Amino acid sequence: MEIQDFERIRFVTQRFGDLQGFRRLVPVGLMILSGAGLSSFTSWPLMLLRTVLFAGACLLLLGAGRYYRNTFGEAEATQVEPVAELSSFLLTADGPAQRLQPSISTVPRVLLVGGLACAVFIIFQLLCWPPWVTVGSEVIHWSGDPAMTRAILIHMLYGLCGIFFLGTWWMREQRLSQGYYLGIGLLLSGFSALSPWFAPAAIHLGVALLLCGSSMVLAGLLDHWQLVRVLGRREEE
Amino acid sequence: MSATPFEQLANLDRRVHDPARLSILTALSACERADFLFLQRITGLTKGNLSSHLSKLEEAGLVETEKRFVNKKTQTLVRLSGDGRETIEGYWQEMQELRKSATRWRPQKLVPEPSPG
Repeated sequence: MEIQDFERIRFVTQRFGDLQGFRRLVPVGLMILSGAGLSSFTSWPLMLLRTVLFAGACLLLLGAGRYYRNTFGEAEATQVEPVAELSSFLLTADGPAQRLQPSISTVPRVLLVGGLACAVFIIFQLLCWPPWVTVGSEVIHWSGDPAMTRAILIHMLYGLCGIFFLGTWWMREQRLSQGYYLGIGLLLSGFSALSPWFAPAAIHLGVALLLCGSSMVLAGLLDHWQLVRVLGRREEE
Repeated sequence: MSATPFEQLANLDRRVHDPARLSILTALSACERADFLFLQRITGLTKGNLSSHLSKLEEAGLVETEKRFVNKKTQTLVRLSGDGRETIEGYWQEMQELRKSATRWRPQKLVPEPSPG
């Protein structure tokens, strides 16, 4: 066994709960897709698709936990202070020995990522204020117009989703195997900052929710695939 | 004079320096506790092999096991003991030092002994 194999064992055990894509990200993504992403479409095949996606999300929320428990077993995460967790990310950049740091449970981690995301988002918005209130190709200051308010909210949605994915990638030790979080995060942040110039069609609530929901489903599927790849191997009996 | 990489290698804890046992301890060091099925999946060991390694580690006082019933089935939970956590952390530190000293190490030229007479 190579040292990278032990490093992979450590990472997957530490992030076992997070990598259970069908338990969190996929159902949330499906809910977004069914509840809002396709709400602007009223034809019956799409209505049927919305119902199927919603039912699928509910089934996953109810049954995915049992599936993971029965298939891969259980690993209880170590409880550590969030500050210790954050400092370990900032200070331990090399080598498995330094990375043998315990993890924190999901709720503080989500709060930590959420707080980080909000802070970065606010700074980003302050720095890029005039383009953030861009409608089409024009730079207009906010005047309370509903269309403009909606455009700003869509920018914010892209920005928050993008920062959520970037923050998650950062918190997962900036690993190459988690690079899809980086890719999706950059794409959504790009939409947030540059869509008025390069993809004005993306400034539509339905499109934004479709993209954000699909991104969550994709990230959840890739997390699950990674878990199966590592935990799926078995020694010959 | 500091130990050569070979001496450091020879001094590594033999209870830990086995790929299967190291996998088990590395996994357990990254969580509070794990059940038998998870350990089997993450290490890729068979039930028999895993059971045998866990017994050795338990005898050495590095892990603690606990059995409980879940849905009329026995579930075996394994956690690192205090000693086990110290041992595995110490092992990785030694490996880190070993890697550094192996990078620095240069073979010394042997000086021929003067011939008698």
